[in-house]
Amino acid sequence: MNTVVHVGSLLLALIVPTALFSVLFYFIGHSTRRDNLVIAARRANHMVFALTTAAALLVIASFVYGNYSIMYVYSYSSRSLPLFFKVTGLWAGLDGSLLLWTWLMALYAFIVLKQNQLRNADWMPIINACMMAIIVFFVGLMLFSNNPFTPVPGSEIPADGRGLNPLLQNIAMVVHPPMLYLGFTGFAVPFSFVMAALVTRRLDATWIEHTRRWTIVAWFFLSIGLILGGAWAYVELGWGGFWAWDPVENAGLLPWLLATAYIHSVLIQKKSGMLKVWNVTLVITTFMLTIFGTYLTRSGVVQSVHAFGENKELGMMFLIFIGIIAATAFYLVVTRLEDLKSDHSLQSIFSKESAFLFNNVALLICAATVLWGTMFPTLSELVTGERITVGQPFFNRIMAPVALVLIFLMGVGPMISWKKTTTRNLRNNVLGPLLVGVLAVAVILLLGITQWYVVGSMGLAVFVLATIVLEFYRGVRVTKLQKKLPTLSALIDLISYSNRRFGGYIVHLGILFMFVGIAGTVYKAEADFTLEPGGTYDFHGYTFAYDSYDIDQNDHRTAMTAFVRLTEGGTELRMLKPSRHFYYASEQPTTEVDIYQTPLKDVYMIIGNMDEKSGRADFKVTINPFISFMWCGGIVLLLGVVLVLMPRGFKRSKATIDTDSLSVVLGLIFAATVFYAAPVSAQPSLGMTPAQHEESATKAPPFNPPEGDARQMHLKKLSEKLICQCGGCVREAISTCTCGFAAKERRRILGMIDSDTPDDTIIAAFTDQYGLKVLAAPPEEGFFNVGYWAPGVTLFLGLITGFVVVTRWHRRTAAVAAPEAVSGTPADDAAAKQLIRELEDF
Amino acid sequence: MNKKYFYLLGFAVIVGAIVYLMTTSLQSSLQYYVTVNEALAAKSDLNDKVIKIAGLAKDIERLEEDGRSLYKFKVVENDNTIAVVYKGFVPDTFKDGSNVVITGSLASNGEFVATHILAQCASKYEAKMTETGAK
Repeated sequence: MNTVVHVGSLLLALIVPTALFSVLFYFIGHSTRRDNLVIAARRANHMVFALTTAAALLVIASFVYGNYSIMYVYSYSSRSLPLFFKVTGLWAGLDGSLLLWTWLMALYAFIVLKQNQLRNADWMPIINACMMAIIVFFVGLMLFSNNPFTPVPGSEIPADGRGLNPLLQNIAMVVHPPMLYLGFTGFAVPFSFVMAALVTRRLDATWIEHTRRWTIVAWFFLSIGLILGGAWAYVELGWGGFWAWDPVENAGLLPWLLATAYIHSVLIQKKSGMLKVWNVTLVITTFMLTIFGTYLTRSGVVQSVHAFGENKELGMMFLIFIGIIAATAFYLVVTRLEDLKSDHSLQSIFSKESAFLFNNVALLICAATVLWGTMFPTLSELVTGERITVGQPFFNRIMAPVALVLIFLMGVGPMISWKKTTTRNLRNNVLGPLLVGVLAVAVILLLGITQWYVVGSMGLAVFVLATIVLEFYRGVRVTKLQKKLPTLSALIDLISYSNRRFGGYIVHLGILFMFVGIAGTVYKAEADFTLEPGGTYDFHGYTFAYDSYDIDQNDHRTAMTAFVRLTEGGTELRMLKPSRHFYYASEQPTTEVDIYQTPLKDVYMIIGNMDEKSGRADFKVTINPFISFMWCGGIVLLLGVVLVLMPRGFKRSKATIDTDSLSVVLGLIFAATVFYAAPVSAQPSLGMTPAQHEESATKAPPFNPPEGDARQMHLKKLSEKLICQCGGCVREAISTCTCGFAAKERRRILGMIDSDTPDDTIIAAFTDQYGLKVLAAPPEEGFFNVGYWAPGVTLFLGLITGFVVVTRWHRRTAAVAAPEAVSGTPADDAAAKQLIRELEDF
Repeated sequence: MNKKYFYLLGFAVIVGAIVYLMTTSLQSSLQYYVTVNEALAAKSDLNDKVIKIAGLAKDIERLEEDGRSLYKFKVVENDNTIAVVYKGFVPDTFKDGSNVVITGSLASNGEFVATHILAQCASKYEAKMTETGAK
């Protein structure tokens, strides 16, 4: 079995010299203009991808075949774990995450190479050299500190692994890390482009287009990662919120904020050649923050509820790496300042440029606040010796006003002109929406809402919404007149030709929804109370009637479930079943939240201590207004990003099957489905009935049928597909669980087999009784099929999509014919020309 | 408008706003993070300040008051202890012997009135060695 250990370590060890060779030959080949050296370097580049792929597959195979002689496999899986969680075991812990990270990085490098080796042959070597150097660092980390192929100590090979934490056995938690990593590693691509542009002094417009696209791709994945993390925390952790300003969350938010700033400011550079140094710095800092974020969460310098553990050695390596990046980048920027001079300067405060500039400043303040708040405890300890922490109020107080400024700019920015706006322009574009916004504020105040943040964000949200609607309306009107199309076709045509602009508006719309969700948290109401069965508690118009309780005890755990009738104004809404499981072995109680969801409000209930004799229990109830806007906003945002990434005029190219736009759409659908499925599947009340547990003091022997007995083998096959519902084991299959309950279930299955019941019907009998959670793996049919393969498919489809889109968009843009103008009335014609000009500005 | 003037003004306004916000928010949300020993040593300085104390929870006693849970327990570090009262809902991981970080302030009678309990469970993200796994 130790062969895997050696082969794996050897694969990792081979990556370092191969990647270094590649870096060296890229540089020499580039500077001496010897193409054969560059070609050799490219081969090494492919080799690195092949080696990382082999290493990653080896880890996955070790999980699947249960090679517990490897420490990492032993620590994060067990025989009874469903295949799905074995495959995803690759990123269940730090060591494997580093490997996944390297693998994704190598994949990005491979795509970039394929995409650019002909088109941008003159600076491609530097781009790829840079990415290879980053890979060397991550492989170095694995080799010297966190090798996923480390064998278990001692000569004895464990028969089974330790199993995976039940909290992580959740689809959202499986998709969340690879999405974050795709985002994080994705920022290495724009970074490499910038470094190459600086080294080769090719600081013209080419690099902007590449970095912008790649930044949006990485931003897309990072957004999914952040939203999924929030959704998981909400449904699974039981504290009633989705964001806690925890250092680990902040680490993901920091690069997101800076990348957002860059995506906006790059437009100014494209349009007027300003802010070059600024943009270069933003890209470099974003990348550095992804590394810094990893350092924060993995080195133990900050205290976090995510107990990842300290690793001083690893932290030191990260610091050195960040230092090297900073020094190199600083040197390159300073020596190229002459090439980075602005072509123009700001003409007026009332211009698009300045709106974008303010947007950048606001985002930067957000980032600085988050960084400061995250690092403050560590810094204060360094300076004063006392560890002083800042609470959530610190973040909220600074972020709230800055967020309002950002929403305001989100409305103004798109409406005002480049260079210098005229009063006429302001009157035409901004005045109307502004009045709508003011009206909204008046209505909100009349409704008796006076909390400044809510009034402000709602009023501004309405204002921005009005600007977006106005933009869509104008665009559609002009397209209708010009191309003589009906309204709906005109809308599709408009979005297809100006996908960047209107995709951007849809992203803004998503952000608006999310802001409404965040504003709702101001009105979040919490109560904790103690009730005896039969007691009631009134809170916020709801009545919580504690009907009865159920204590289900067995060899492994105690599950306490309360049945609480939720009524509002006399009408019964639902029976809430919050429960709490206490596992004896892990001494870890887990909360099963129950949420009554409506579009406007969630009623979120958890149960605390319960007296086993009287049933007297502590409850905590949270009323979360508007929280569904958060999740809807997330989906809208992702949809918008996909639109932005499509090639311009995608609808028109009907002649050829539009693989890129098609694949982007598919990629989105998968992402959205997974995203939607995650909160739903994590709900505890997915058609479940409390399991009837057979009390038995004696353990039944594990089920091990003799080979050759067809009837018993049939039973084994079926019972492996079902999870024992005794509640004590951690997702043991009925075939392997040793409790009396499993033995009874096996007898039941055997009875059904004897009466010639088809397999499907037997499985269906179990799902009818216990709900879908009884299945060892999600059923391979219908909607749940999506849950089964979507994470993997999303991952690869996303990457392939990125690859296809990236290689095609340049060829495509050239091929799209300019829309032919059909003249309408002279006035409309002028308006149309004006609009087309504006559309092309983006 | 003069460009330089504009930049300068904008810069000053922004820096001013950040500094104002940061200082005011910091003051209102600063929390001293101390261990039990440090809290006892600097008791008089810490009166009425919002502080966080880290230690082990011991002797947890659950009472009730006005239909809500009331917890009395001790936070221990080495031989030093602080008596704590907390009213409300406790997290899952709060139990005898768990590592806790409590937020609150010292009352004049020497009792610590906690408003928030964070109980850390080292094994939160890593399943412990269990019989379940060893089967």
